[in-house]
Parts: sequence; C-alpha cells; structure tokens
Amino acid sequence: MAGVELSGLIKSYGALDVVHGIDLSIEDGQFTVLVGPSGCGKSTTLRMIAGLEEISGGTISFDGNVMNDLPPKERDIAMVFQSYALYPNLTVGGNMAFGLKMKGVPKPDRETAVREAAELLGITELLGRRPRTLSGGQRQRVAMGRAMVRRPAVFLFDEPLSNLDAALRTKMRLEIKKIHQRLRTTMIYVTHDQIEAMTLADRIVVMNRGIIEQVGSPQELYAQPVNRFVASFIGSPAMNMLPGKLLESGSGLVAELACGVSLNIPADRVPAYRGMIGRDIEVGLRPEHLTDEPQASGHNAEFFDVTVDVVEPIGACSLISFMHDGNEYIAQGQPLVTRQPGEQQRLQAAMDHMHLIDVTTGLVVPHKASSTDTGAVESSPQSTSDESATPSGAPLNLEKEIQ
Amino acid sequence: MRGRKSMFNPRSLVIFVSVSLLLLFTGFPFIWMAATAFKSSAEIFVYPPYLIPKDFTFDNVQRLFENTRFVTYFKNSVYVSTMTVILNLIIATPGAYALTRFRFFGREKIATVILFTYMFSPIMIIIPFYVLIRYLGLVNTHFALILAYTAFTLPFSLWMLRTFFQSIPLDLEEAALTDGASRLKAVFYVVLPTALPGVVATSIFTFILAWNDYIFVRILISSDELKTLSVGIADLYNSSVIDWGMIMSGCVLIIVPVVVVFSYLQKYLVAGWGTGGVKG
Repeated sequence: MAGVELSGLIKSYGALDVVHGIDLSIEDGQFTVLVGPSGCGKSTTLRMIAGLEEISGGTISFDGNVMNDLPPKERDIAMVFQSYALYPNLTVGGNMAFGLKMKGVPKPDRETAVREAAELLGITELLGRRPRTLSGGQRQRVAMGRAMVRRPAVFLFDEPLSNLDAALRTKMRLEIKKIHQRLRTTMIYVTHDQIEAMTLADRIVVMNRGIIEQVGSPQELYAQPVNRFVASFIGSPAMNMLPGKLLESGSGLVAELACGVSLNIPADRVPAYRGMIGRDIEVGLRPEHLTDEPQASGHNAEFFDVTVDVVEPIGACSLISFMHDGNEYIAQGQPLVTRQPGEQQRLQAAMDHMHLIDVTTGLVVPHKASSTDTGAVESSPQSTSDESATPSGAPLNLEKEIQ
Repeated sequence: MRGRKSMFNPRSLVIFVSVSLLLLFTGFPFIWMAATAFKSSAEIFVYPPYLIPKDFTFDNVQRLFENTRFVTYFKNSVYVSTMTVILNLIIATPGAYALTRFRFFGREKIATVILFTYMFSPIMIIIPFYVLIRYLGLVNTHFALILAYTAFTLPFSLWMLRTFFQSIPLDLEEAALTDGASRLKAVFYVVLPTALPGVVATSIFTFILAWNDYIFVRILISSDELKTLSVGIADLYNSSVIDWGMIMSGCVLIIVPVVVVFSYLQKYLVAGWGTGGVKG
C-alpha cells in the first residue's frame, strides 16, 4: 500500500497541453475516483501514474519516493483496463498468474495466489479457459483478479465498467467496493460516470480541461460544489441553473430570475451574498429541491408556476421537465400524481439548499464557513486568480493543497 | 438435399466445370511428374504415352541417391532456407515492432521506402549484389545466399509483421508492462504469441522463396557441394544422357516437404494473408 502524491503534474503533446499542472494527494488505502467529461485529462493522469505515459512536468511520488522516471514494472502497481486487456494466448489462470511470474514467484505460490483470488471473485471454474470464451462480465472479473493477485501498492482502474451492460455494471461496482473494503489498498479509479464516482469513492476528484475543479467526499461535492462545473456535473439529473440578478429587497435579498419569477434569499445567507447585489447570478437548485409538494416543506420555501413539458415517471418519483427562455429544467414530482404536458404546475423551491453562482467567475458563492472546511478544494489557475475579483465579502479561500 | 440441389443449378455447374478444368490444367504437370518419377526408363518413352505406371519402380529414386549429390543438395536447401527464415525473423520482428510502436521522425516514409525495394525482380539487382558479395569475400558461400534471400524477403516480412503488430491492441502490451514485465518481456510473452499467425505466415513465405530460388544459387555458388536443390537438379540436364525418371523423382522430393509444411501451416498462412489484405 502506498500514498500517492501528484505535484504540478503536466502533460503536453507538442504545443497541446492536456494536463495543466495538477496537485493531488491521495492517502494510503483511499479509494479515489477521477471523474470528468471526455478529454478532461483523467485517463492521461492515470496513465502517467502508471508510468505508461511520460510526464511533461511535475512529480509523481508513492510514499515520498519520486516515480517520474521509473518504468511501470518498478512502480508496484496493477491496472485494470477498459478493454480488460486479457492475454489471448494464455488461459484465465495464466492471465492471473502472469504478474507473479514476472516477479519471479515460484509456481506453487503462484497457483495458490491465483486460486485464492479466483475463489474471492467466483471464477475458479474459469481458470482453464481462454479469454475469448468468456462473457464481458467474466472477463471483467478475470481482469480484476489479475490485478488483485499481485497485491500491488496501488490499484489503477481505467473506466473498467464502461463496456458492461447497466445491470452488470451495478453489480460489478458493488464488488469493486467490497474488494476495496477487504483489501484496503490505495485505489485510483477513472470514470466519466458520476454515479460510479459517487458510489465508489472515498474522495472524488472532478477534472475538467486538464485541471482539477474540486476534490472532496461524494457528499461534499454534492452538497457544496465550489463552481458551476462541479455543481452541474455531479448529480443526476443535473442541477437546475436558473439565470437572473440578485437585488436588494428591504433588509433582505431577492433573486430576480430571467423567467420573471422572484425568489427570496434565506435570511441567514444574506450577509454572505450581499457582495453580489446587482450582479448577474444563477440560482442552482437540484431537482429534489424543486418539487411539486403543495405545502411548504422547509422554512424558506418559495413557490412559482411552470408549464409542464415532459413527465418521466421513474418509480420512486416523477421527473417533471419544464422550459423557460429556451432552457430545460427538471423538478421532482410525486410518483402517484398524473400530469399532462401543457398543464400548469406549482413548484416549491427549497431555498435552504440553493447555490448562488457568480456568472462572471463561474464560482459558487460560499454562504457558510464550513464550505471552506470541505478542505479538498483544488481549483484551476483561473479560479485561483479570480479569488481577488470575488465581490463577495467572504473570500473564497480556495485551498491549493488537499488534506 | 440442399447440397445436391445446388450442384445441379446451372451457375454451380459452370463454376464446377471451370474449376475442374483449371485444376486439371495446373495440376497435370505435377501428376505427370509424379507418374514419370515411378516409371521405368522404357515406360517413359512409350508411344502412345500413358499416365499410371504399369511397372511401378523406385529405381529412379535409388539412382538419384546413389549417382548424384541429391542428399547434399537437400541438406543445403534445408540449411539455407531455415537460416534465411531465422535471420529474417531476427531482423524483421524487432524492425516491424519498432515501425509500429515507436514514434520517430519519418516512420511512415521509412515503411514505404522499405516496400520500394520489393518492386525490383532479383535479376535486376543480381549483378550489383554479386559485386557486393565478391567485395565481402562471400562468393561461393551459403551465407551469401542467406543474405540475398533475407534482403529480398525482408521488405515483405516487415510489412506483413507490421500489419500484425498494428492489429494487436496496445492495451495488451501496457497490461503486461503494468503486470511487471519489461518491454522485451511484454513483446516476448504477449505480443509475439498473439502475432504468431503473422510470424508463421512470414516464415513460410521466406522459406518457400529460399527453397525455390534458382537465380541466386546459379550466380553466387560454383562448388557442386554447396548447390541447393533447384540448381542441383537442373544440372542433371547437363549430362549427355538426360535421365528423365531421375530428374522427375528429384522434383517430387523437392516438392513433398514444401507441400507437407504448407498443408500443416496453411491455416496460419491464410490468416496472415487475410490480415495483410485488410490492412496492408
């Protein structure tokens, strides 16, 4: 097991920079998920950690030992690939034992280790078969087994579940989590699926355009995103971003939305948001905080009417889509209420859960001291330089280093 | 039922007859050669001629072994062809791998230029090649033949193996690297076994070219004990009395090993050519 430290990590292909000097500290035994859209640099970062990609700048260290120039075999890592990458010329057993063979482990010990891992993964009966005869799920297990057998210091996963169907993906996700709970080895997992990230991670690293947008626990990222990108990327369906202006109204504040709706800002947030008065803002509300419940369910509920566009019943609730100024928003409706497209619907906005986003900087305006305690905030150079420009009285206090 | 029906459909019948005629046309010389090899001298010149020997005999084969250096020629052919295959693979495998996996300036141009050399027929370069071999002091050695065949088969081998290496996902190699293998071990344990059809196809191609060559042996080899089968058998014509039975039995013995090896390995060859066809 090993802690992993990335410091000022850069990757460029000629003039094209794909990873822009990221800093990240991963604790020993932690399950860290790198998540972001395609092309955000997450896989490149993982490949640099593995030693499969040369680094253009910065350092990678495991337990304080710099790994920059070491080949993959000297890094004590194991990697699970999206394509599984099972050796077609070897049996399942041969595939799993390959790493130990390379290490020079004697055959009897290799066989014992392979059998143990196979039992753990329920693939003992497959040991004599060739990869081409296996199903996708079985191949995935073998790839996991091959990595596990080696007992590496760091496990690396590069979108390992992308090629599986939805049901199998959910099942394998659970198994990966169980394996981590059992082995407690440092795991770094890359995915573009934020559900996978949320369910698996101890800590999530949200990446975008080669920088780290935010680092934190799944709950932190969900409840306290630091910027618009993280707010809209984490959570499914995505957070609604209602554009408008922040205005003063008596002793309080009101968000005048572009759609003509006014939403009162909760009194406890007024001091934090005062610096944003008169500026273009977005009010971020997750679908579950924009509901069709007729009675106010919190202290700071605000009501407004919308025209239903599409209703998607998903069992536990319904997703109500509505349009405003050409933008589509989603609210969460009660499952048993039937609605028709074109119907008027009164929605309740739980303003206690709102996020105020400064349109100019794209940052979420913090409203309580604890938001800086999420600690794991790693932000882009742009975001950092924007700190001084934040008109809010409370500085954003974006921490450069994590935990 | 289905098969019988299709046999009698006019289209299939035309194809069947055409293929049979073509087969007869290409196969007849071989059948005649085999028949002659086992006929007595008297039977060979009987008029009207007939195909199946009435007096089946191994005399021709016996004379071939007793009166000529057939065994020496055969050994020479096996040695030269095998060594050509080995040298070819030693150079082509890492070469093709480098042309596939490493990024360097002019990689694609190099790959194209390599193929250019394959455009010239052996006869066009035989004189400069002879001058070069003489300069190196290698005239009348098997090594000269091995070098010549390797030079001639290398472009094709490089391209064929390159196509195979290109078809092997990079992930496999990277998996081996993260599994603790060095690049050399990753190639040895993962890439080469996966590219085995390509390696076999390349080897067969090289072997057959070396085995069947006439022109290089004729030019580069003068000692009788160093000759390979093709020239050795051809020289049997030089005697005052041409012993057709013996020559034909020699030809049969030249072809048999090739047919055996080819039949055994043809699945690899088909796979190899198939891949080359798609990607090359």
